[in-house]
Order: sequence, then C-alpha cells, then structure tokens
Amino acid sequence: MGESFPNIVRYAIPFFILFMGIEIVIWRVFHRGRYETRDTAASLAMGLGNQIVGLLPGGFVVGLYFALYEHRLFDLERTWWVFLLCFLAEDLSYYWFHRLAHERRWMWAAHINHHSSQHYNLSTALRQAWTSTLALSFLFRLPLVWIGFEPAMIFLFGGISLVYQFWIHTEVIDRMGPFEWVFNTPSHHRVHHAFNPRYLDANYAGVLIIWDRIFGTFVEETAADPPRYGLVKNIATFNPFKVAFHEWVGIARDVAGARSLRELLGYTWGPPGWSPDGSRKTTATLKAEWRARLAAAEGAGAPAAAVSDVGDPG
Amino acid sequence: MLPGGLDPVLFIVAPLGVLGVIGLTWLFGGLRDASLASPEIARQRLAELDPGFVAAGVTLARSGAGAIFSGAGDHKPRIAVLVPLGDRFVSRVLGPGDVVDAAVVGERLVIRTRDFTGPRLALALGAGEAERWRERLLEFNGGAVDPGGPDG
Repeated sequence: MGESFPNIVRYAIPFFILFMGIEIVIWRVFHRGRYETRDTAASLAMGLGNQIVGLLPGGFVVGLYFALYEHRLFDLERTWWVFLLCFLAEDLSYYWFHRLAHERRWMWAAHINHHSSQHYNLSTALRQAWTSTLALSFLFRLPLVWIGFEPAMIFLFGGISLVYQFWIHTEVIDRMGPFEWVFNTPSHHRVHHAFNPRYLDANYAGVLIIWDRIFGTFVEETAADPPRYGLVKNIATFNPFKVAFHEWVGIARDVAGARSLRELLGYTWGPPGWSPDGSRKTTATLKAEWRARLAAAEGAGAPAAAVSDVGDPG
Repeated sequence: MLPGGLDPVLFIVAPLGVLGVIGLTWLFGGLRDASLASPEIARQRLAELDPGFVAAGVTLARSGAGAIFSGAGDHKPRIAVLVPLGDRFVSRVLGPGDVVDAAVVGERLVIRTRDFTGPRLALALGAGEAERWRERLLEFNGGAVDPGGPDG
C-alpha cells in the first residue's frame, strides 16, 4: 500500500472562507445571491460540528475500509487509469449514496440538515450532517474497497468531490453552457436544493452530472419556475442541535407509535413523508398534486408557469 | 500541530474564519426579520410554501410579522400560520391534534404545537383578533386546547 494522500478538505478550508467573503461582497455590491446572518451562523456551525463529530466515527470507518481492503479482489496499482477509474467509481457511488439519502428516511435524517436552509449560497455548502455514519453513508464505498481501490485513493476522490461541490452552492453564477452537459454546476445544484415540486428529488450528482442523465433523475433549471430553497416543510429554527437531530426525533416519535413491523419499517426505511394511512406527503404525492394543479390550470387556460410558481392562489 | 496534536486549520483558522464570515454578513445585512406588506402577499407566500392549502380568511400580524389563515374547501378544518424565520417565512398547517395549547398573551396569540424545531408560534394580532383565532383553534381541536395556555 502506498503513501497516503494529502487531506484536500483541510487545505481548502481557508479558501472556503475567502470565497464566502467574496460572495458576501458580491451580494452587497451587485445584489446577486443573498446571505442572512443567523442562517449563515447556523450553516457554519453545522460545518464546524461536522468536522469535529467526524473525528469520532472516522476511525471506525477507516478501520473498516482497511480491514476489507485486506480481502480485495484485485491489486490495483497507482497508475493513471486506476486513478481515472477510481474517480468515476467514487463519483458513481456518491450518486447512489446521495439518491438514497433522499429516498430513504433513515438516510434522509442525516442529509436533511444540508437542505434545511432557505438560502442558497456558499455557506449552505458547509451546512453538513453530523450523523452521516449513523445513517450508513460509509457503506456505499465498500464495493470500491472490495474491488481493490486503495482506501487512501477513495478518500482522496471523496475529498475532491466535497471541495468541488462547494463552489456550486451559489446564485452568483448563472448558466455555464456546454460545461453543464457533463459536470455538475450551480444551475444543476440549485435545482437539487429547491422544493418546487418540479425540482424535487433531482440532480444527485457529485462532480459528473452524467449519472443523473443516465439514471433519469436530471431536471433542468427553468427561468419560469425559479428555485425556492429549503424543505417541503421548512424547519423553524437556527439552533444547530435542532437542525442536526430534528428528523431523528421525528423518526423516534413515529417508531414509538408504530403498531406493526410494516409501520416500523415504513417510518424508518420508507420514503420521507411515508405514513401508514397516506395522510403525509411523499415526493411522489407532491409531484402528483402539482401535476394535477398544472393540468387543471392548463384546462382553464392559465399559463403553466404560474401554477408551478405559486401553486393554488388560495 | 497545536498541543495535543490538534490541527491548527481546524481549531484556529476555521473558527476565526467562521466568526469573520458571520461578522461580515451581520455588517452588511444586520438582523432584519421578514415582514408581509399585505394580506395578498401573505397569501402568495403561503401558496409558495404550502401549495395544497387553500386559504379563505387571513389576518396579518402587526408590522406584517406573520399571518394566520383559515382553510377553505377542505374536509378537515385546518388553520395555517406564517411566522418569520430570519428574512424568510416558515409555514405550519395545523389540523386537529397538532395544537398542544393556545393562549392570548397581551396582544399576542401564542400557539404551542408538537413541532420539534419551532413549537411556539407567536403572532401579534391584537387582543380581539387573537381571542377570535384562539377560539377557532379550540373549536377545531375539539376543545382540547388548554385555555390557560403558555405564559408567553
């Protein structure tokens, strides 16, 4: 096994701070993007907490990866094509981790933190989960280790992916032309953070947007329906501890009231919004309701964009 | 490395940078809460946040710091509330069983819900309007609301 690689994220931290400073000045001078003091403080507290909390289970995950690596299928050297394959495999595993982090409530309970801001700026990128290990995020890279990619190489590309995803959390950059065909961009990721029904559960990519195009989850940003950021049911707090644990509390309450194994599994591993009687709303329900409103409005001769923007006029 | 093997980037640069960014945001943006200019704007905000809720009546809180809505065309009686969270709004649609208690405290209607992130919703509606909405909450909650309510 070769030397370890530098911790990319550690070196990026000063640049994260610098670029947030630049984006804040752009917001102030050119009125592009938007910051809110308490929201920013909550996001950055989540980022700091993520780094500190990550130190605890990090040793377990590293140990697990190295133990599995002892039983690898292939000996993959540090050649250019192994680096390339590792990058692609890590990015693909990220896509599936991220997709399931939205589609399964147990995993969503950790990832929901990242989507809990109603703002979309570089500080939102740092609003990271504190409970990723509990949500089993580490499982998704195990196949890569088993195949024979060095854990250090996987961590390198994981770090590169994290750093890459920092700069796409901005409203300052608009569309990026042909670059958007292959790579994840601010526009693609704005869609991912939006709770407009049109945009729900889309664009899970890390670095390469091609995975969304391949697996049918790509949705393009449209000017007729500007993204509104946050959650379908937004949280009412800036308290980082409540941000970090609110969905776990929700799961615990539901599980405490579960009356069967089906309900227990539904509340933990069903899609977010699942309920035994269908009284809550999943993404599928919300999209179906939106399509029904859209069809009704089109039938009445109203422009579709008006419906997608504000729903029922009330 | 710092004493104890602590990483200076993580334990010095990052916290100082965080304070700097928060300070800059405060300097340029302050701590202004969102407000609603009119009932129509309130309806629009609610429609964005809860497109499934069809609002009938609406009462705006003083200085536009929130609004409360009665539902229309619904089988179940529901009330929706908009409260500011920083420069944005958060909505809550309350149905039977969602309200733990409600009280009028001075000019404000104070509703306690089971919501973990924001259990207390306060709206400065004026004493008369606040009482009217408290009675409505009592009504659709089947009288389960504690009239003694929160102490504010």
